[in-house]
Amino acid sequence: MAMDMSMLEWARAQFAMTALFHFFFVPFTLGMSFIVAFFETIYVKTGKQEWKEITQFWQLIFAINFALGLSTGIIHEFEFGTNWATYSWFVGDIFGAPLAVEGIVAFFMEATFAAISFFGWKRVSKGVHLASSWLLAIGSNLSALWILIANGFMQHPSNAFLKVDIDTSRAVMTNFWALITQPVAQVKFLHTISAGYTLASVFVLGISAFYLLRGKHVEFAKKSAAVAAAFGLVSSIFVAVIGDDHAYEVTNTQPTKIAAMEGLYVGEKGAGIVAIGIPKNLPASEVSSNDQAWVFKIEIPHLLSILGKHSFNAYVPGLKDLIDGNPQYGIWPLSKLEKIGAEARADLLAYHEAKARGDQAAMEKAKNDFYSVVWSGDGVKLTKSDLIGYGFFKGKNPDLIHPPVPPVFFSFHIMVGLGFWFIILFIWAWIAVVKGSFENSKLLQQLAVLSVPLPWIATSFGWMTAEIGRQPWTVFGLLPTAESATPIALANVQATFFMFLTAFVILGIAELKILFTVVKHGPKGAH
Amino acid sequence: MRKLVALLLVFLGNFLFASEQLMPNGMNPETYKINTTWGVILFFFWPILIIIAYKFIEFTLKKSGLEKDL
Repeated sequence: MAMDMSMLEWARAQFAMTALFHFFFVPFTLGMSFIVAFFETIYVKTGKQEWKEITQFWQLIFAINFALGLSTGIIHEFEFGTNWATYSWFVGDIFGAPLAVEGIVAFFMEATFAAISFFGWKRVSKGVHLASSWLLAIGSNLSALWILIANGFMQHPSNAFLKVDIDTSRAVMTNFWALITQPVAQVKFLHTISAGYTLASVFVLGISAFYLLRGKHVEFAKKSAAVAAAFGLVSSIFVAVIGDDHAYEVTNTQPTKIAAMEGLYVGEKGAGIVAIGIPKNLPASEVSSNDQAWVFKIEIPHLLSILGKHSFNAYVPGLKDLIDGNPQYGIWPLSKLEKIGAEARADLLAYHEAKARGDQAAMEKAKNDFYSVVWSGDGVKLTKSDLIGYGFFKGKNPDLIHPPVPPVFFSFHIMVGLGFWFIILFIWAWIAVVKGSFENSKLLQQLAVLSVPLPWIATSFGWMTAEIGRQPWTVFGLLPTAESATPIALANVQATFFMFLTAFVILGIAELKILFTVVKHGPKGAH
Repeated sequence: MRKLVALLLVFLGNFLFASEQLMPNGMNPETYKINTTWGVILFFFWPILIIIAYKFIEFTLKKSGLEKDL
């Protein structure tokens, strides 16, 4: 059942708000949990009390954030049921599995060891406590792994691990191993956790610089800054390296997303990347050349082909190619995909009508049609059932098939720009730490303090690139967003939207107030 | 070692002779098929990253003179 668009937009806005608020805490948890484990390891190896104080201070900040991260994540689980019931019903067998593993294995693991790590300083031995801190960090990151496996499925639902079951009319898992090891999910995991490590490192570096600017807690700040600079340098470089592999996966599995990320309307061989530019918000069907779609742009030639296809002159399809088709490269017109998708829906309906009548022959025919191969090549077979999602777009505006270019382009480019800034910041900070000049470099300290909010902006924009870029699908190519929501009254979604907004504002203010109080108080007696 | 060389050759071969024929929806059939071996290798980047990061932290603390007893 197609949703009333206003209800759908409210449901999307609510999910986006919850996700963004939750995502303020998640990357911080991913990174801080390991930073705390690093500090504690140094404490255990050296046996020096000052490292214990450093550990306990950063652990206190981590703990404040950890509690809010957990509670906001639980809201998501409810939203899948309240606002996105059709989605949950259709792909629950696949999406639910990694979420269940996350809950049973990772969530309980981190919750158990969080208790020992936060409250067990005087209750367990040094070794047990250190092991708990490490297991807490590993558990937190494993939580992210399972969530991103679930998200990876939404980005790239290959028939290598799922099929649409004609009996239940639902997508079912056929290969759990392929689901959890698919490179799209693993690359997302690596990109997200290393972004979290960078974020936490910028935070620790910035707060340490803040103390040095004030002339307070100097020894504490120097040591904290050294650990943050080293971890941040390794992590920020890794984010960029794995980001390259991420771009490769996106280019080859979500052509509409990469085209929107780069404002590529008309496909090109040797496609470039726009380093700086302002794209126009145009429907792809009305664009005849890429130059027409920009207010201005500075482009690096061939770079998109190199990064996205690992070839200097490879062809990268544009949004227009994905609507009109491009026979030279085997891309079908959208109208053909929509026709086959609509036929798949009709086969599904015919099967269930025949089943209701008890007509075995008609059931068999509908089933054979539903799973008939419509394309094969390079070891891949596509059946009508794999293209069922396109059937929902038949007769609609073809430009609905791609995400809006400007928000995806800007989100992606702001994230990348900030990513490069973090690398520069950490190279500078690390050299200053090793040379012993960090303590006296006021400009570097000021820049480190000013940089504290930037990784939150970068990670939020990264998430927006991934999620807006996937539109108009909740499950790419399989289930449209417009078909995923629960058919409930608009007032219900509006009411919960404002309830959550109020709660988030109060929680956000409380979190910041506690955080500022702890930072102002400093490390002495933090625990 | 042989497996590693074979994997490297497959990777380079893919780089040089990548097929330009796409699927009807613009996806690349090579990535549509799930390369589980590459996925497993990717996963192990994580512990390697953590170990390298910690070793680099120790190196930084020693080199800067902030902590010699590591």
